[in-house]
Amino acid sequence: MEVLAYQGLIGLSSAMYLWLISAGLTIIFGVLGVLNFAHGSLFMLGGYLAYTLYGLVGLPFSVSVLGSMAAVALLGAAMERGFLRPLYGLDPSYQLLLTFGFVLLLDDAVKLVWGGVFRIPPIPRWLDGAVVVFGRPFPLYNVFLIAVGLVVGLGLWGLFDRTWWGRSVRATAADREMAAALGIPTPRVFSSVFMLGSALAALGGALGTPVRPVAPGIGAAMIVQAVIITVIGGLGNLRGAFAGSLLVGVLSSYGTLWFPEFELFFVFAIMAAVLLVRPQGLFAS
Amino acid sequence: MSLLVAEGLRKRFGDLAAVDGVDLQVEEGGCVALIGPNGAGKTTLLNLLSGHLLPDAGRISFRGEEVTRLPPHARVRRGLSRSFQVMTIFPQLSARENLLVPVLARLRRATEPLRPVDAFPEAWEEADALLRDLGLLEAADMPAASLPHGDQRRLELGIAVASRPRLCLLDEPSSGLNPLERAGLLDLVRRLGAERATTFLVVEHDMDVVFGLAHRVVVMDRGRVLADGPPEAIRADPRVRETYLGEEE
Amino acid sequence: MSPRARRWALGALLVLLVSLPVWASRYVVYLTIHILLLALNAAGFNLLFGYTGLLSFGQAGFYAVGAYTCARILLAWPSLLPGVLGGTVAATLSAVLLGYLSVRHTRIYFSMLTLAFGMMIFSLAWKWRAVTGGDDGLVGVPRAPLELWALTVPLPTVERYYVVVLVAVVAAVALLHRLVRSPLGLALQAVRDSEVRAEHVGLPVRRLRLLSFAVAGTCAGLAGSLLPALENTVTPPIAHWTASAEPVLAALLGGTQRFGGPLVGAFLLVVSKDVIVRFTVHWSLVLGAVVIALVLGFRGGVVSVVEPWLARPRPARRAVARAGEQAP
Repeated sequence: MEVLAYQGLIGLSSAMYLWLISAGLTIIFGVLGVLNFAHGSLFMLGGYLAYTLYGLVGLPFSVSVLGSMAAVALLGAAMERGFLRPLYGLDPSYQLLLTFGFVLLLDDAVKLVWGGVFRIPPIPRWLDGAVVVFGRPFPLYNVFLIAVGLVVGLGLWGLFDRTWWGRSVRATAADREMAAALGIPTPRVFSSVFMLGSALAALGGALGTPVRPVAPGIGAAMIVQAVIITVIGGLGNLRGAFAGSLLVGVLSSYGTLWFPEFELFFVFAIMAAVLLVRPQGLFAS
Repeated sequence: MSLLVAEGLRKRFGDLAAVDGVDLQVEEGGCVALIGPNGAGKTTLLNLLSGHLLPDAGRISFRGEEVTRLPPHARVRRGLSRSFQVMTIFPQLSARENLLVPVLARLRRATEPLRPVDAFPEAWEEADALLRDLGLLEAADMPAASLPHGDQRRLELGIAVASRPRLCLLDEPSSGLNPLERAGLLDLVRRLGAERATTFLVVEHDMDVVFGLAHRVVVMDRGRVLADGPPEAIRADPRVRETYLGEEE
Repeated sequence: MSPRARRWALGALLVLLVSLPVWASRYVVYLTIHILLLALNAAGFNLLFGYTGLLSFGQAGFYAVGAYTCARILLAWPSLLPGVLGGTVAATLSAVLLGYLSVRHTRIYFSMLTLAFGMMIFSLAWKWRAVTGGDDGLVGVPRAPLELWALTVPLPTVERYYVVVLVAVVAAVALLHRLVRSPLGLALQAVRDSEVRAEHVGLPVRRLRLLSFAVAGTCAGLAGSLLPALENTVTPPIAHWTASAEPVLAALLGGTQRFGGPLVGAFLLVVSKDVIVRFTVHWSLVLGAVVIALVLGFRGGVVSVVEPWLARPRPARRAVARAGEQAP
């Protein structure tokens, strides 16, 4: 029983990476109607930037994470303004293909800049250590991750529900033309949403650096996970993405315990089943 | 035997009863106009009759056969076709191809996989004859999306009649046209109906058009049939004047 | 191009292809086999995308079903024809099954479903050790002889195997070309242009989509079945979703509005990759930039850029491409 609970806790902390990356993906889809295949690459880029600032330059961990978020957010804004904007109104396939072009470009660009080799920087001292849970040591860093995930969740909820910006975003998501007619600057809403989503992806990538190696190709791996979660939770549904992250994170944590062989198969089977039976997502109201 | 019989049709969208118990019979021949204020349920009724939506209750039979839950393509095969309020054509296909598709479907050749389209001269001739009737023969090879709005409206009418329907449902076929084009289009409806033995059920807003074209007018309001009869009787009906014509003025 | 010039060009291309083993190096022949396999896969994919309007991200799954099935058969029964036919049929059957489920959706939901199904096939290839050999794949697949009734043709060299591939691919592409120009091809384009209008002129839309999906899966499966005898191994990466992107990119590069687009695109993709990797390892960086440029500037692909120089202007067809770009 305690093994199960402990494993669940491990799953919970890995669910938080998934949550950070799928939150951005689903917000962007919900408002812009674009499924950004390059979102995983932004996650990866966030990891590389944070690693550089923290591990190579030697800036404080928190400054590195914030710095990488800011840089990736700017890149996201450039992508949206310069590249996606001309494609609104065309067949959505072209938006998918464009973002796929960015996957190829970014995954290779990081190899060019950082090479194939990498080191994992040390965990910042104030997060190093362990707490005892169910009689076993549980890394303090994982506790920190869970806390960050929850804080981001609460923050997003506050942002969308309690601010003028959040209201205009929701209005834009519900009906673009009506929102524009009401005087909401929808192009700016699109850019800001894309920046927010990109920053969240970078946050996920940056927080991963001290514990998981960031490598070229991780973008393609992460985007698939994020797409699965976003689909399970319902495309564009933020609460659904949170629940979906917990579900996938915890399930695959048990999955690796019980049937490591077919974990991947079942995750995709769940995704397909949701698309077929409940395309609006498991957690749609 | 009636061409079309609908009994007790109902369709709800949430709290709104869009079609709320409609009985309707359409006899062969001529043109029946379906009028009513916005939100009366005219388009929803057309959607139920054509199979675009399935009713919550009621039944529809067409030429003596129950079709209530048949998919649209099966109804087209039985001789029931339609056009749409929002322009619905095949934009990337040429004008001729737009008509070849329904003609080939009617000839049961639409899924012929290995012989080229040119190998079906009877389909080509039929499509070209219809293009001539529509005044679009010159534009036969132009992509439909590049045609002027008025031509697209006529092409859309052509697509609806190309499957040689016994009953053709037209949803505001002249919307977006100027009065001159509108008169031309409705003249075309009349002519095609007579030549092809097609009966039309037309949703239309322009009252002059309705009373000029139809031999029978059905008035809907709030999901029900309010009045049904020849144009003169409808024009004189006080309930119609109050709820419908009153709103128009 | 006038029909006459077109026929001449096609004839010249065929002569070039047939005579290739005579004058080209073994490496060029090997590369051309890969071009042919990708061309077939991409042409099938484009029946689904360019003609039917469905963007699949799962073609690698059917390619892999073809390749793995063929490899298993060749390992047990070293005869090429049963292997290739078996692989193709297996791919067709899985395409019919998964297609039946996938075509319930269109647009992004369809793309996501095909991605999920493709990745399910990938995870089987990767983990179902007993059947697929796991991450080692299936090794030692023989280049089995082609046995036709009493006749046995051994295929010891790449050059000889090339002839088999050429015949199979040219036959399949020719059939596909007939299909595209048939009433069925027209019906698929009608479904792409307007689902609602299509079903209201009497077309069984879902069945047509399934048919298109099955044909695309069959093309991918045939291409995949021709792989193991060439490489002697089959490994899981051929099933990964990033491999599904290859036919997508080839079609996009060459142009999705023309039948020949994906074929030209396959040539360009394989050749440019081969050339670029001689100068830099950053091939996918270049490819990514090209994809972005194509999507933004040349959605008609290379063919639509080159065609006006070759052709006497044919206003109708050219305008079709332009209207296509603007359709929602």
